[in-house]
Amino acid sequence: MITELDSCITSSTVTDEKNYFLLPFRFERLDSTSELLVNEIGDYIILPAGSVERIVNRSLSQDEDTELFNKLLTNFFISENPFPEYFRLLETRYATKKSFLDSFTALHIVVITLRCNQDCHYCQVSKVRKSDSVTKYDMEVETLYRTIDMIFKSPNPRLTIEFQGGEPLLRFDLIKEAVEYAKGKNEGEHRKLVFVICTNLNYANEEILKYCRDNNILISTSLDGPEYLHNLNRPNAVYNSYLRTIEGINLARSIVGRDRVSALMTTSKFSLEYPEAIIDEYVNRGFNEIFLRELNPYGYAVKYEADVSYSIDEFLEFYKKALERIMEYNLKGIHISEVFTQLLLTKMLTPYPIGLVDLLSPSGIINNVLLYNHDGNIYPSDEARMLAEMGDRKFLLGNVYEDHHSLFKNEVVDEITSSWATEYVAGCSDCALQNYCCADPVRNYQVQGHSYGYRPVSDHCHKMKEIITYLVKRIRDDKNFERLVYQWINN
Amino acid sequence: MEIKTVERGVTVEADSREFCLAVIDRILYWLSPTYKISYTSNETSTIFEFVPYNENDNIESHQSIIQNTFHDFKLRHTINEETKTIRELIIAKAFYPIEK
Repeated sequence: MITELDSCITSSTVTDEKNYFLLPFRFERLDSTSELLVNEIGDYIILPAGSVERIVNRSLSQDEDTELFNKLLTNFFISENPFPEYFRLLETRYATKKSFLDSFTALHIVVITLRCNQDCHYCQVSKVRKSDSVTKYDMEVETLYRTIDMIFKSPNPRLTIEFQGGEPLLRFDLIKEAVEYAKGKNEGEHRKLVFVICTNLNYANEEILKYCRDNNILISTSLDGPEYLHNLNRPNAVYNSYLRTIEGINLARSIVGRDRVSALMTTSKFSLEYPEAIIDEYVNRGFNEIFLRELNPYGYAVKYEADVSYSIDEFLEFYKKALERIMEYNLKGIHISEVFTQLLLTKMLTPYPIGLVDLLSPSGIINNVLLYNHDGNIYPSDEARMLAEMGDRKFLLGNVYEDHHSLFKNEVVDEITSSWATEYVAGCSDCALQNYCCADPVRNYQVQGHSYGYRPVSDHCHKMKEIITYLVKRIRDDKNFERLVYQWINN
Repeated sequence: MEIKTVERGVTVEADSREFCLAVIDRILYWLSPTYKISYTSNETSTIFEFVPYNENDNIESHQSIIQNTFHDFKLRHTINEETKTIRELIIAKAFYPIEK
């Protein structure tokens, strides 16, 4: 057995006189010459290697190391008093960062149908064919009403209802029913209602899009890149899927409004060779943002893993090349931003919270998102239902025909909450990047077999560390990049 | 702490007063996927042996990685211990502001 002491003899134990007091912070070696220090409220500074040891061992002197001392003092890494006089500021800053927890679930994803007309190789939701059973794979009207009733049980004053599939426009009649029913329910409640349809736009027509315009429904579509790549990723046996999408985007922009139509891309194995061409396509199509999304390990992405999947290092290489292209455009005066990077930088460089459920701690699942499947089953996230469509209902919370409270008082929620915060899970609790990262129990379970996860061999941990430290170094070393990211986050 | 390269890997003799269980736990947590780890212990210290699973790796680079890991987790522990109360107060006050 390892010789056990209750506590280590630390420098503070043997140092009687302190000329300053430490405030909570974490650190990582950034490279051989520098260390990254992040305080409890998420502000970071970069110092020469060896600085942390000097700080902790009290070998800093206010007289001899004035600049460093003041930097640490003004950035909340040390204090001259055991209880800093600006404690209220730290408390407020921390509360602001965690204010996404204040109002409970805001995003409610409704799977109208699992049927889809396309045959994407990587389909993560395990869609079924358009011709498959309507009764088996489409939401029933009564279930739809119950779903909206359940959504309104959330106390959040702002509710976003996002219609997904399959291809939800195959059942636009159900979407209309849901919108009308939700608006009716909201008459006495006066909440801010936002509707989004996630669609390939292949079935969009003037009538549908005018309804979207008149009811402030946002359109989110999928554009994987130029024609050859989009059609490779998202084929259709009958028609040119890319041209259909572009026609749909143009029609939607002309009717719903340019700023109310957005596009997302998914990175397949085929996409890895075309980071620049993908960015070019988005710029040429007039989009001013792109979300470089990696393929998640669910559905057909697992079933056909050998054909469509790739390593996290391959994705990181792709991400960095794409980001370089984005930089080039911005330096030429053409504004385009990368959404994931922009949100990450907002966490790193501002006091404000963000809403992306994939970047929150405690996790965005349940707190910020719930998913209502076509059969009325409720899951804590889109990924949890992807897992269910693969035959594993591990994270099933309940059904729209059950009581709202029972959704959150069960063993599934107990298991999720025991592993959903970077603040306390092993491997994250000491990590300097904790403030910028997130825990993902569903992904841990899918990839590693248990929701708690094991960070030293986690792809997610590797990816987040690589991206965050890459951004920190770029901001430090490249003034153009620094200027650009401040433009992004100030927009 | 004394660190040495040996034929197959790296040994570390860690004084138990400097490296308590909370620190050792974290070190082993991060190093165990890369190394086969064994140890012997007496009243005042523990000697760890780290043998890399990848036999082709340069042992010198492993010595540096292991040394840094021991060093950094000891520092992290000191920071955590010294700032535990203020961290708890920040979180408690942020979520339960008494004035509200």
